[in-house]
Amino acid sequence: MGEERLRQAPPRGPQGALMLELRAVTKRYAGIPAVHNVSFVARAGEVTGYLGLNGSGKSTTLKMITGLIEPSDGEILFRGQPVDRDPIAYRRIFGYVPEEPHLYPHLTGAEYLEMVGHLRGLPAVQLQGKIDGFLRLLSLYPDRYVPISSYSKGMRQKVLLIAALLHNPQLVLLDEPFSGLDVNSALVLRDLIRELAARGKVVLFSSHDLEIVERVCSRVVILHKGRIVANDSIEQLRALMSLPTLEEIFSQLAIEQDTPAITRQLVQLMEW
Amino acid sequence: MPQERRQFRLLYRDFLFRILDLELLASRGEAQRLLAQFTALLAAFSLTFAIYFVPRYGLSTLPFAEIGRLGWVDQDLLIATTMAIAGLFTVLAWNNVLPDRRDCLVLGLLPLRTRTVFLAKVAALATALGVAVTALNVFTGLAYPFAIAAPGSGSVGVLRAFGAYWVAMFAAGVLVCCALLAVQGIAAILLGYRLFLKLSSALQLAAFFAILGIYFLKPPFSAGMTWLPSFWFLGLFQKLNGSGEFDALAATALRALAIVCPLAMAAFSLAYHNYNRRVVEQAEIAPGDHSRPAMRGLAYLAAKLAPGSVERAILLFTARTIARSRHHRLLLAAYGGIGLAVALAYARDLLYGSSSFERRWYNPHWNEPNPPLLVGSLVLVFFAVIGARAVFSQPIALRANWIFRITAVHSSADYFAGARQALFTLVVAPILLVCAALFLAIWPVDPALRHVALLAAAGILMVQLSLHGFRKIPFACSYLPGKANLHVKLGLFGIGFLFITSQAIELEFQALGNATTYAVLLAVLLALAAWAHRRNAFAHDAELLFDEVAPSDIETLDLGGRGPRGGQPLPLPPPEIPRAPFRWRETP
Repeated sequence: MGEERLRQAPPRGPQGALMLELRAVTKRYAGIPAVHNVSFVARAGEVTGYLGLNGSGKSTTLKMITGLIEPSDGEILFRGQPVDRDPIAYRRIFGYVPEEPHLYPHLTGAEYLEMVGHLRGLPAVQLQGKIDGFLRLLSLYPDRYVPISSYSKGMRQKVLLIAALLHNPQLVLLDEPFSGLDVNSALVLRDLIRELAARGKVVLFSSHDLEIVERVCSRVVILHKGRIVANDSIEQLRALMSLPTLEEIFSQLAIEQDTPAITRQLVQLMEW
Repeated sequence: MPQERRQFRLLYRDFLFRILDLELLASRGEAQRLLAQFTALLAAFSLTFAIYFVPRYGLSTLPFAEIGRLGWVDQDLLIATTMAIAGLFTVLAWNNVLPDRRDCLVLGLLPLRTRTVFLAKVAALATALGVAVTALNVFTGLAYPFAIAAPGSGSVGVLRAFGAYWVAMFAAGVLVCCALLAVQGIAAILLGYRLFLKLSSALQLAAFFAILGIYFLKPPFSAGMTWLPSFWFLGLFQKLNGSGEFDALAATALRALAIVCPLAMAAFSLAYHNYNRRVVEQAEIAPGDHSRPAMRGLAYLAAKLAPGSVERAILLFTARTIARSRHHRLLLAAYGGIGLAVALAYARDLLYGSSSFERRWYNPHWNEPNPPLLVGSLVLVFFAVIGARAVFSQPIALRANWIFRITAVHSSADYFAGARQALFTLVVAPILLVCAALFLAIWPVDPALRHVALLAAAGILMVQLSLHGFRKIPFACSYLPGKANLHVKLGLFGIGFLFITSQAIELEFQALGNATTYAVLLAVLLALAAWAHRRNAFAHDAELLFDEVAPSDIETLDLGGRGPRGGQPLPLPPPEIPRAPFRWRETP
């Protein structure tokens, strides 16, 4: 038990089962590992939380899963097939909300979504209906002809979310999706993530908000300095570590600094 | 006060290197080098003028009064060139003279007076204008006064001519710069912030093309003409140099300066203060509601012209980027401006005669097919195509291109075809339509249609050739400045193109009157276009490019796990932290 149990090896999924599997994935930049030997499984029907401090390698892992960056070592499989075997087919079935809302600022929200739909090859009539529906449901419809450069952070986040869901993906990758959202939208998104999993999607969800992760996720993978330090269901982790909340589990596993001392020193430095 | 002077110096230095829209032409890192290259280019013009003009005066055996009269045309050309360069310089500085949002957000939080910032900006603009005018006249300004000083007037006469030359040139440059600043300032005051944002680019482009048009189409100087500003400053130059023939023109120049300069200062300072307040409060890009009908029309056209979803997405993305990105639109306009300048230079032959065409063929008339207009239309298509090709390579919001990467679910050939279709539909087709309307209006139908058909075939060929090896989605790939080596390529292509065009137009001009020759010419062009299309189609399996690969001057050795430290990072000394007297206090 103990640390080894926390970093348990992922079970091998049957060929064709709807699940995402990472096997010993490593990413090195100039020889320095950003993500080291990461292995886990995200299954259909459950929300897998992917947690870690800033710079721990979460976004790098998600970008490797999308194919935006290539792993230095290891393998990423979906439905038991390496994702780089047929990247075009793989791109058709995932949706991705990146950590930072990089969008084309000169396009309006509707134009951006229309472009994404065309690029994904969605039929024009269906696409227009979907875009209008999504924009209405996420309260963006009145601003659909406003350039994205004028959007608030939360509005951009909603555009990213719609772009990720427009084509009904089987695999949903969410990197800090709650960033900038107001309370109402955050509640909608929280329920939406659960609903997506209930509809049989594979959902991998990265966030710093441990309270939401605890409410939404069935399993969590905790990353620390590019390595997995925990990979289990939240209940199991609570039981194993005898800690009541995910926040305390996370603090125990991933936070090394004496936060009160740092706070005091920051104030001292400010007043110097 | 010393604090304010320090602030002024810092701001002045920063504004000076940002006064021109250098991002149009080079990355930030190359800004200083590019400024030096611009200055050198202007000085090279000056040297060419000096070598061309000055010896003629020295070698002439005519009486001085006669030489002086013949020199009016040269002086007018020098003044008009100075005014054109000052105007183009102000157009390039257009977007940097009024405060931008970033400046307001950064400088507005610092303890700076608005006056200090404003004066630093004005000083930077004046310095840059001074450098441009000086560079353009550096050789002529030194040599020409010796050529036109009255005989026997000695060093006093040369000094007087020298002073007259430089005063006239700077005054001419200042008038154009102030006139454009006044237009910008008045527009900013009258239109209000949002409307000005929308119309500013149109005003800028209109000014750009007006300057080129006036410079290339203006009539040669003659004593009775008083309506062009370059003639006024010729009068000022003559007056200051002791001639009494153009007093009225000199007085007009002074009156113009007396009106325009204070007007520019007043309008510009008022606009600056208004703008400074509003730029933070309101969004930098105005809502697109007003453009909805146009954009709907575009979407309708795209659906008709590009049935494939990828082609449609690329066509719309390209159209919207060119329509809304000031950077890309201006760069395209710069190429179009070069094409327009060459075309107008040919059209000038049509207006005033005495050209190479006249010698080679006959005296051209505008209402029948004529070489100047045939060449002009072909030159416009050529520069528009290479301009668009260059603009396609310049990314917009590069970090947003991840969406193209993760949605690349079609064959690469679809994306390449989309880029070619966008180039033809958005750039070549509008020029063809304008040319068709113009030629059908002024020429007989048959030769007009024949020329437009040849122009269309040449346009298709140019599109196919220009995008050969282009493996990108327009505006979605990183760009390596310098890789294109435009300095060399543009020069070589330009010289080669003008030579080929000259020959080809001669052939076309003959072919327009001979059905067989015309059919052969059209067939050859179409065959070449088909060959180029086929060559591009063979590249269907090429991979889409999203990152230009840097030249391998520096390569990562990637010694991870194999290097002398076993892949461990180089142990660096700890960063320097504040030393004494600061000490962490013991925490209880």
